[in-house]
Amino acid sequence: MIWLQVLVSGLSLSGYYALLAVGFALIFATFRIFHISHAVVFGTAGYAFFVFHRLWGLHFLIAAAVAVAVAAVTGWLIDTLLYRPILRRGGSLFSVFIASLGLSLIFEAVVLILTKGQLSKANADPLQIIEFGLVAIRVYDLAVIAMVAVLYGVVYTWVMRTRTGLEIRALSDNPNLATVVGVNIGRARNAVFLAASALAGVAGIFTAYDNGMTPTKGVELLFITIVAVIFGGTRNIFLGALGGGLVMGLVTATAGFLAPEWVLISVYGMLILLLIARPQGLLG
Amino acid sequence: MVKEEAHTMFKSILRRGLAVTGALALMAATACAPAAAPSSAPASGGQAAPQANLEPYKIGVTYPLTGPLAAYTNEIMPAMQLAVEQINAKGGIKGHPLALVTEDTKGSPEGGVAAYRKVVEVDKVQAVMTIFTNVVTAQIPLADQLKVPFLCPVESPGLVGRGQYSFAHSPNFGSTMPLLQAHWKALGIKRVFAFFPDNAIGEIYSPIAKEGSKAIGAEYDDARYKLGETDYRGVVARAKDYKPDMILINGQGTPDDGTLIKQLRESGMTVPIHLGANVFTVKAWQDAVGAYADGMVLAGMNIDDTDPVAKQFGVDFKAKTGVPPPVVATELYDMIQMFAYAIDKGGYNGTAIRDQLKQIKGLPSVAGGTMTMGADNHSKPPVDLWRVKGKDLVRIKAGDK
Repeated sequence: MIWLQVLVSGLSLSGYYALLAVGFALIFATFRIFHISHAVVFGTAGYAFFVFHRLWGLHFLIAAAVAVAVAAVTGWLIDTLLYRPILRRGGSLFSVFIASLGLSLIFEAVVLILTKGQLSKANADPLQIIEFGLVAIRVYDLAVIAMVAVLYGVVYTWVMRTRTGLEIRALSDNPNLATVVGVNIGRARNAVFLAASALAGVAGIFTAYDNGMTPTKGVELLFITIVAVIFGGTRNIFLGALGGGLVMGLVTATAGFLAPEWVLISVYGMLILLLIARPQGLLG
Repeated sequence: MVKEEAHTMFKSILRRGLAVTGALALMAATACAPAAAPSSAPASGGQAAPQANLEPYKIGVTYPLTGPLAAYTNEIMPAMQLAVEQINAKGGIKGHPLALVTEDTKGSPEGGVAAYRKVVEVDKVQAVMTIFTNVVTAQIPLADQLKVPFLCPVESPGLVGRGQYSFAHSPNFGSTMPLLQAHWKALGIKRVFAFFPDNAIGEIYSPIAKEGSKAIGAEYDDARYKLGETDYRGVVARAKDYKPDMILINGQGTPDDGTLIKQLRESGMTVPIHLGANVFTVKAWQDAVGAYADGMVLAGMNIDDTDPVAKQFGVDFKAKTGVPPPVVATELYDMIQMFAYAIDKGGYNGTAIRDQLKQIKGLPSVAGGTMTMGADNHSKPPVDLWRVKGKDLVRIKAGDK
């Protein structure tokens, strides 16, 4: 029965990874940008939500909506003020990656100064649980899983059924040809960064509400998310991110149960084995 | 065209100039900002009646000011400042004011060693206040090497006795464990599951808790949790799988305990939770644990509210910080008093201070009662069993349900 409990924990964790992974994969697959600063977007949303909800007393939904908007704008600003100028001036994608890494380190340092590294938790109240025999499921986890499913559905519909989504898919498949046939790269780029950042913002809000935010939380989660993306592959962004997120959630929950000190070893060990056996990821 | 080119060139130069200026400003700001503690200048305690032309007697403070342990220390450090202010208000030590020199250890052993070196070798302090078993463990050999003693409130038994220049003033797991043992035996506890932080504390406490459980015929298992983590559901699942009668948590008084306790309860575990130390009085801990604290049993010391000295300390601390003092604040206040006593008797020299600390006997404690240094370099206040009832602690006897 305890394995059911571990499974429940794993599914809940998968939700967080899946939200971060689909946004990260969307940006990477479309523009080949290794967006480490996705952690900055996640962290900004989490801390913003903490301030709005816990410190200023705004209603949960209002605080969440504003925090998601803050996340979306933050991600868009990172692209507009950092990535695009580098690329315009002839910088390579590697330069963009270094800048992204630098920004995430600056963010950590600034947040450390402001918060002194202390936990910022948006919710102080106990969470309700439902017990099925020896297995306890938090109502909150069910809400997270449901929300992730809804968001995936919305983003999938948007990418597969709208003109902007068509442009994004075109850019992902063949950026040069997409430009030739008149895809509005600027509009598509804005849309990708706004959407991906909003999804990261939702993950940040979930984290801030449940376990709280620390300066390094974003990067810690993002590195596991990147493993999830590589695991799932980027041929099918949605299935890949979801599958990779699910695997990582179950791996981290299982490792956390068996040997907590081996969590990161398990995650990166699996990644190395997968890259040796199937470098393109599970789904290509 | 020429005008356009000039305009473009001007804009380019302006952009580059702004970029360079911004970078230089950032570098200057970084160079000016302290790398560790907010200030290494003497704390506010150094400004009272002592003679202005006498050098202050500096006490180094190597405490975590950032990181997961900072929430705890930020709440208790005013006790040191209060002690310094009150000593200085009475003329200091032979006219010399006391001053605190603070360095951030970030709660890590390597940070502790770097901070200790800095306050001794650069700031030339002859006495140090420090905290946390994992940090202190690394500082013990350094204190011996530099011949500058430290005082700390660690509760790990036998730790400070490993060095010649390391001292502690605090309850001790060696003295609280028998109280818990007696309570578990009276309650008929047969399976104990313990949680300890994943650092030196776990290494020291785990065997003691294991032996204590075995001595009363109880089975035992434990798990370590990493400070600063936010998801402990893995180790919680292990505890649940073990089906214990009782859970023992001996953390470091940080909000991580609250996260762990919360996740234990959210996993459906309803068994009693006992604590090996009185961390309940730390507000950051209370805020983290919230309503889950009610009914918890803990072994440790508490402030004697009937003692007029202790009562006055409570008033003074609350006037300074706005909140009542946690128990460990009395330990910090007392330790400053110990250093003041030692410097007064032996002079401002590391070895002389060390020699005087060893001889402390019957020195009044601000928690009530007196302090006497043990042969193991550990001054141990009396301890008792307590149960959390709302916002208060109620003394209980072994076996009380």
